[in-house]
Formats: sequence, C-alpha cells, structure tokens
Amino acid sequence: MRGADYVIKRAGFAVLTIFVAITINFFLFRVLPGNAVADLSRVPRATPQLRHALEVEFGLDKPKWEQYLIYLKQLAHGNMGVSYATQQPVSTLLANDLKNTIPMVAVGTIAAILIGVLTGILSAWRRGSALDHLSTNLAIAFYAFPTQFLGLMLLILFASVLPTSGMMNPFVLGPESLWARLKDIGAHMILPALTVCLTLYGEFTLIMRSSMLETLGEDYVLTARAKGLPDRKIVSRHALRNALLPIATVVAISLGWIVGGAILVEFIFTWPGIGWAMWQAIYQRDYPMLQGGFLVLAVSVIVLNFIADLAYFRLDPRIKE
Amino acid sequence: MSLLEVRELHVWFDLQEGRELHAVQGVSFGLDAGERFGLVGESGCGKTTTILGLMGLLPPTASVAGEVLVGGESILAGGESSVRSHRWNDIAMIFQGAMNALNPVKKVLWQIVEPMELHGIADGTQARRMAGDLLEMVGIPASAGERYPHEFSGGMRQRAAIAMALACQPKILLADEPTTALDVMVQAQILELLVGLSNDLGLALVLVTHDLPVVAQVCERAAVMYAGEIVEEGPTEALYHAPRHPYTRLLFAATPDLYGDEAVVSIPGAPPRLDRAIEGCAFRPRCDSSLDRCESEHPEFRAMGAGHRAACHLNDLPGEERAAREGARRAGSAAPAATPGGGAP
Amino acid sequence: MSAVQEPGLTEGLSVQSHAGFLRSVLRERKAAVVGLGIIAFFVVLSVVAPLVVPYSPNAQTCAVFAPPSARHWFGCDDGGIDLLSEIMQGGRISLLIGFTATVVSMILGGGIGIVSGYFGGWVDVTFMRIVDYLLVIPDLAFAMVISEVWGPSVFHVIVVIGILEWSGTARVIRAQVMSVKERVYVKRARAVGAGNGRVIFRHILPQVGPLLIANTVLTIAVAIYLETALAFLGLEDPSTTTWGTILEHAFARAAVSAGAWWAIVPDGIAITLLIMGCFLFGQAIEDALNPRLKVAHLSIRRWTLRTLVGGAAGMGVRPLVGRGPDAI
Repeated sequence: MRGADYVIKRAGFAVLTIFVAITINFFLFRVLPGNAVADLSRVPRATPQLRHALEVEFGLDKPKWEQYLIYLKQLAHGNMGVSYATQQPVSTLLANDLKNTIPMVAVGTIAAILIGVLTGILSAWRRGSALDHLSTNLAIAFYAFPTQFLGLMLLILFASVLPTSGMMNPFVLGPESLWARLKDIGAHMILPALTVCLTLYGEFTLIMRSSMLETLGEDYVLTARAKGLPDRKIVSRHALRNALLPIATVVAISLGWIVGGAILVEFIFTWPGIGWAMWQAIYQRDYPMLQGGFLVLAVSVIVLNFIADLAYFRLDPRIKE
Repeated sequence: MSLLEVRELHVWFDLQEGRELHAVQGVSFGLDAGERFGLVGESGCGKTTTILGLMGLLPPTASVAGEVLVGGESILAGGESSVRSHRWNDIAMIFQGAMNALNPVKKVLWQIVEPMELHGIADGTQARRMAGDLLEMVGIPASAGERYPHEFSGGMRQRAAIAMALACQPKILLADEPTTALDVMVQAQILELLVGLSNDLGLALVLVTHDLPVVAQVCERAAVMYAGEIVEEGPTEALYHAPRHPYTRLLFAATPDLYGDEAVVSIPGAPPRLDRAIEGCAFRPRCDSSLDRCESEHPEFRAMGAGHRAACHLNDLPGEERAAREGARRAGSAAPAATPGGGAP
Repeated sequence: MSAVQEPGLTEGLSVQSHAGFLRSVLRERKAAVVGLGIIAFFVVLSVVAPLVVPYSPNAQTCAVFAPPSARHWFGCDDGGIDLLSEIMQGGRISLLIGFTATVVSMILGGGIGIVSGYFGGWVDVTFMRIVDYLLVIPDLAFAMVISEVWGPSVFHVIVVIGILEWSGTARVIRAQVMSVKERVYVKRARAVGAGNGRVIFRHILPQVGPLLIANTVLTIAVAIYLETALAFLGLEDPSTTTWGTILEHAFARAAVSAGAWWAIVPDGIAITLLIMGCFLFGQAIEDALNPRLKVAHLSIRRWTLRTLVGGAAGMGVRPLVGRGPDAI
C-alpha cells in the first residue's frame, strides 16, 4: 500500500512528541524552580485530609523519578488528578471544557481558512491590481491585530446587539426546545468565533497568496498556458492543488498559535472552554487543572498536526517514503 | 508559402524606471512541414524568448512586434485571445527541464488527455485510448499513464512530455533544450525519437539549444542567435564547415571534440546587455577578427550563397583577406580578447 | 555538452554586502520603507518618552475615564492617568521586552541553527526534535504556565518568550546553512584547511545574514504580541506599565461597559502598528530573498502588441539600423 510507511512514521512521530510533551509537563510542575504541584502549601483551602490524599496519589514524598513513573501510570489510566478548586477529577472537567472549545474554535478557524484561501488565490491571480492591494493590506492589518485588541473592539462595537459573555443565556428557564437552545448558543458563539476567524484569516491570505505566486511561476503552469487553457482552468486544474500543499503545513504549524488565540478569546468572552479553565486555574492556583489543561492543549495540537500530515499525504502524490 | 513564417519578431521587457530590455530584435525565419530547424546560441541571447514569443507565452511586462504566420494566418495579431486557439492545435512545445513541465499532482495520462478535450479533438474513452497510443509511440507502455510524473525517470518524463505535445496533432513542434537535463544515452534516444516523429508525422521542428552537436545531428538548417538577433542562418553543413560569422566559427570551435583531446576553447567575455542601444556590431567586443567599422556600423544580414545568410562586415572583404584576418586578434595576443568581467576559465 | 560560458548561471543567491542588500530592498520595496519607518518611530518615541510625556504616567492628573480632550489627547484611564503618557511609557517596557526576548531567541535560534546545519549528525537530530516539540507547543499556554510557576516578572517574560521563539529561526537558518555548506567556495575553504569557526563566521554567517535579519524583525512582532497577551491575562508584574497591562486594566476595570473606548483603542493601535511595521519590513526582506516570487506565468494583465515605427502597418522595418531586403 502506497505510503503506509509514511503514515506509520508520522504516527510514530506524533506518539514520540506526545511523550515529550508529557515529560516536559511533569518537569514544569515538579522539578523546575517553583515546584508548583509538590508545594501543597500553595493549595488554597486544603484540609489535612486532602493534602494527605494528594501526597499518596502522586507519591510526593518519593524521589522524582518514582514520581515520574507514578505520573505516567496515572495518566495512562486517564487520571490527571483532582482540581484543588472544585475537588472534582481534572479529566472530567477538562473533557467538558474541550467540548465547549472545539466548536467555537473550529467554526472560526475553518471560516478563516476558507476566506484566506479564497482571497489569497484571487490576490495572486490578480497580482498588482487594486483588488490585490486592498486584500493584501487588509490581511496585513488583521494579521497585526492582537487577538485581545480585536476581541475588545468587537465587544465595544456589538455589545448592544449580540451576547458578549458565556455560552448560553442562564436566565432562560423552562422546557426549551433543542432548536432554541442551539440558536442561543449560536448567538453567543458569533463574537468569539468571529474574533478567532479575523485574527487568523490575514495570515492564511498572505501565505496562500505567496504560495500561489510561487506556483504560478512553475513550469507546468507555463505548459498549461501553452496547451491553450483559459486562465480559470489553469488556476483550478493546475495551480490550486499545488498551491494548497503548503497551506496544510501552515495550518498545522499555526495550530499552537490558534490555541493561544483561543485562550485570549475565551478569556474576553468568558467562553467556558479550556482556555477559560486555564485562566481560572491560574487565578485560583489550581495546579492540577493548569497542568492538565496544558497537556490537553499540547496533545490536541500534536494530534491535529498528525491529521494535517495525513491531509498533506492525500494532496501530494509524491509522498511515499 | 512556408508552414511557419516568423517575420521581424521583436520582444521587449519592461524594466524598472521606464527602461526596457530588447530581448529579441527582429528575428525572421521560416520552415516547411517535415523540416527541422535549429536555433543556436549562448544562454541569454534570446532563443527561448523567441519561441515563447511566437506562441505569445510572455509575461505582462513584455511587448511584442512583428508577425507570426501559421499557414498564412497571423496568430499574434489579436493578442493573447487570438493565439490561444492555435496553441497546441497548431504549435505545441516541449519545455526545458522535463522535471517541472508536468504537473506533479496529476496523472500523466490525464495531462495528455487534457488538451485533446480542450480543443475538441477527442474525449472520454476515445481520448484516453489515443493518449495511450501516443505513449506507446514515444516508447512508454500505455499502462504507465496511470502513474504520476515523479514515478518516471528523467528520460521517460521527457518522452511523456513529447507524447503530450503530440496530443492535438500539431503541425509545428517547438523544443526548448529538450535534452539538457538528461544523460548522454537518454539524450541520444530522445533526439532519435524527435527525428523519427518529424519524419513520420511531417512535423516541422524548431530545436532550441546551446548544444551544437545536437543541432548538427538533428537539423538540416539552423540559425545562430547573438544578442537578440540572428547573425547567421544556413544549412547546418555550411555553418559547420564554412561559417560566415566569427561567432558561429568560435561557437563550433568551443565545442569539445568527442574523439580528440584538444583543449576546449571557450569564447571569452559575455554577451552584451540588451537594456541599452548597441552601437555597431554587438559581437565586436568578443570578436577575434573585428574591423574598425564594426565599432560604428551595424552589419547587414545578407545572402552568402544558396540559403546561407550572415551579418558580418568581414564578408565584404575578399576571400583571402578574410581568411587571413580570422583569429588574427587572438593569435596576436590573448590579452585583448578578454574583456573585463569575462567568464574565461 | 558545449563548453560555452553560461553567464546566466550563478551559484544561487550570493549577497555581496549586507548594507547594499538592505539599501536595495528599501529602494525597491515601499513596504520595507513603511515598516522600517514605523519601527524607527516607536524606537525613537520610546527613547525620548521620559522627556516628552505631557503628564506623569503614574499619577492621577484628570478624572477617571475622562474622554479625550485638548489637554488629554487620548483621554484618561480608570485611575485618572493620562493615557498618552501611559502609552508612551508602556511602549518603553513593551519594546524593551520584545527586543530583548528577540535577541535571546536569535542567539539561541541562530546558534543552534548554524551548529545543527553545519555539523549534522546526532547534534542535529537532538536539536531538531526539540524544535519539532516547540513548533507544535501552544506558545501562549506554555508561557502562561511558566509565568505562573515562576511568578510574574519582566525578566521571566523575557526568558519565556526567548526560549519559545527560537525554534522557527533555528529551522530556517539550519536549512540555509545546509545549502550554503555545499557551495563550492565553502567546500574549497574547508579543503584548504579553514577551521570550523572560520568557515562559519567568514563564509556561512555572511550568507545567512539577510535571512537572520528578516527573521529577527518578524520575531520582534511575535515577542511583542506574546508580551501583550501575557500581560492581558494578568501574568505580567502588576507594578509595571506595558502596552499589554494598559489593555488589561481597561478590560478588568470595565472600560467597555463604561463606554471608555479611548482606554482601549489608542493602545491597541500602537501594538497593531508596531507588529505591522515588523511584518512589513521582515516580509519585504524575505520576499526579496525568494527568487520564486519573481516569475509568474499567469496574470490578468497581458503582454502587449507594438507597431514598429517607420514601417508599413504591421510589417515594420527595424527603426535604428537597416537590414537588407532579403532579410525576410
């Protein structure tokens, strides 16, 4: 089968990176100066019983390498510890947060990719035209907008029209239809998703434009022109797919960035996702939650990267190592 | 009337600050069905621009003057839109660097079928069968058409590019350095294939190359280009044995002899820049036998014999005097011939 | 093959002088001039800020959330502090953090990229695994964790950004070093016995210089962004004023519901402009270094037809010098 090796290689790489992420996560919280998790005196409102339970569960009295093994074992069982703040399992809390984050970020990111790819192609095709200048300058401006600034601007502009906080209206009681609930969530999602979309689309436009420009300089585009193909067919049949190849990589590389933006967006719009949870964890010194949140984000990015690798594999027949 | 007739073709490229580069400066030539014509010269002398120009395959910074007649019809007269229907239908092309001329993400057969469907030659199963036949004709099994270009070797890719060029049964085939990136054995096979095809199909072939033995092997007639102009044109035999322009003579002298171990002589210096007017003969600074008048007077392109023309003032001298002058400057001393910035090894 | 000289073929891109290259970029690309102008503007402003601030950036000089006026151009914040003064002061710290963090990441990234690309082998493999990890790690989340564990301070922010942002530079530089290493003159230098240090500093560094400059400028933008984002999340030393903390204060003290847009907009525009300046300048250099962007076989504009002067319509005669009648 073509490319089975490639898939295995990339999967192996993903697994290795996840392992590195877990290890670094352990070191960040237990070994580096600060020793956050081990220092139970920093746990707010901790009863002696809770302290003792934590000590036993994470082996805090044992040497570091043993703690590391215990950490790995616990993780393998899906145990990320217990939130200091709510006394609930971190994994349960994070699963719920992730469920809220994914749709919002996905909607914003996919919209950004679509807009970016489209405007990038048009810009490159019409290089030097007024449309190109407008689109490129707009993209640079949105690329430069810090997420928090853009979010605050949207907050100011649309505060009277759209919901600006949370994921649904808590005051609507009674037996609601599913449709009404979805509509409510959708309305709440507009501003955060729009912020995600606008901060990302600029970068995608610029990258798509330069990728397309590079592709339009390739010999096979000249061949297509020599064949007598009209421009639209040259773009759609010959240039587009080749120009899209780097986009898969770029989206993958920006995933860490997208997640960072999502944290800011959730913070501004109090979207009850994983970014909001991490911010709260910092605010409440809830280290297991912070550690778990960071690990989940890192692993998500690695997994999505693997998916992007597979997409690249689908797009480019040359890969078959 | 010739099948392909290029008359006074000029190509300019706009540079920055309103300057322009006169890349092709009034090139004219013609050829008939089944004829093989070589276009020779160093890189940067306008060969590739000439054949791209005659198909209108130029960037927006270019402007074109002159006429290109295919079967008597002027194809460039209406700009890009008028030339498009002639592309691949009448004139097809094989590009330099077989590596990149094929789209890496499309299967080879698809790329051959594409122009057939576009120009209404054939479609569907019929087109695929025809494309398969073409592949067989250039020596590739039809089943290999289901593969991607990167799965082909360099030679196979160039064969596939030739099959693709034949898709619409063109009358004229332009080949731009078709063998450059290939090893010697494969080069010979590709050239043999091109000669065979032009004989069998009556294709008029324009072969652009800097590789003189290739021209000698393939073409009956050739033109030598220098600084955007044709400086000598004639039967390959005549160019080789009785060149009437010092550039042609030096170009052949620069070609290594496969069987001898004579040191290879290259022409010192580099072609002139084409973004400024050239006074006198463009080759004078590198010429080994120039006259005083070459500095100020542009030599006319004149008939030298049957189908043999050249643009050189030396031809005005009597035969013996000309022979005596040839190589005079070089023989005298090596120093004056080497211009500053020259690339002599 | 013929032995005819091919003057068109040169050994890839070779840069004679950095100053000359930068001058040509600035001459040919308007975006580079605009970008450098913006960066220079903010740098100069930061240097002279203590001398020209109209009011104290720490003391109350007007009413809480006073709107912009002739005396307070950008209005006042939640503590009655003049925002223009505060933004000028904040820019000093933001720029300091951005530039210092970039220097840290350039030294790390440039050094590791050169060592990795030049020596290859297990050194390369080890560094590239770390780079792979850093490339997929969510920057901001990582920075949040570190700032929280270490405690908020300007120094920590600099270190965090520095160790996060070197990976991209290392990758780009490594690729460049690997290609430069294979060039003839570098091989020649090694063959005649030039030491590694000499080859790196005399032959390789000058070649990757322009790319390093482009990368540095682009990293400044990322560093400034990260700083403002961390500060916005409250992970900056609360006693300092940066562009990030100004936005944080405005948000935390309900400037939005108070309708005090002036507490947000000028500061946000300052951040945006500086990031934009870095992007324009850095990207202009990168584009100038990318030969693949120069050709385009497809464009909406077309080549044009010309009529030759002095000849019959369509069938012109060469204007400058005549050719014989048998030329055609």
